[in-house]
Amino acid sequence: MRAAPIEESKRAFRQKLAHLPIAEKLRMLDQLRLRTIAIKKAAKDYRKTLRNLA
Amino acid sequence: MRQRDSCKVAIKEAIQIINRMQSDGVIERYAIGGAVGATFYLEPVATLDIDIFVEFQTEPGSRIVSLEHIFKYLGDRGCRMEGDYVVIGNWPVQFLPAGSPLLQEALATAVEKDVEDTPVRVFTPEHIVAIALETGRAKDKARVLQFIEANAVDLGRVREILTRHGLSGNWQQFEQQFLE
Repeated sequence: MRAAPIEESKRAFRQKLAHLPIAEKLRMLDQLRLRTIAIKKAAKDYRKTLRNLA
Repeated sequence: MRQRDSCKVAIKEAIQIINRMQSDGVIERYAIGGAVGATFYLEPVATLDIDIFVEFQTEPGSRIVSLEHIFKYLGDRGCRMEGDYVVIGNWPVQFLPAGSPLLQEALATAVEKDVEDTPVRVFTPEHIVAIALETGRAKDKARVLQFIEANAVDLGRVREILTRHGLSGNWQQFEQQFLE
């Protein structure tokens, strides 16, 4: 697949998200935030484990 | 609902508490900016906090803005402090004084939106972009690009705002860096 159709489909997906009802987008922000916190915590724990193994 | 439970909520309920603060006279005019404000116009933009810009009255004879009454009001309702943030529900909220002419204009021209019957004031897309260009961090420039790519901002109005506030150079720099 060429790059242009990929970019175009990504843009279309983002447009679709942008046009969701605002309440739905805010609920997604809630979920994105919880996910970001979980990833940060997991990364921190992983680094700690590596330090302990060293 | 018990008073303390009112703070164990998500973003919409955080907005409701901020509206209640306004109707109780704890804060005056407010508007949401930053990534949460941008989400009203774009796809959801991941963020860890909510930026609330507020018009503050300084104490008579003082130039220092005090947030103490806000912290007390929210503290009495079970919200806790985390550094510069008050945690309302799960969300750290930062109350920022609209301390520059650009922010004052953004606050004055903010628009009212509706989140499932909950009113909320949000900066216009043009002011979000102008403020992002003034702030100028990498993530701010990325946000400006998102607005442009989504055709969600009137760039003519952005240039007018920037000119009015002596920030035309910020636009020229951004244009050279990303649009030429």
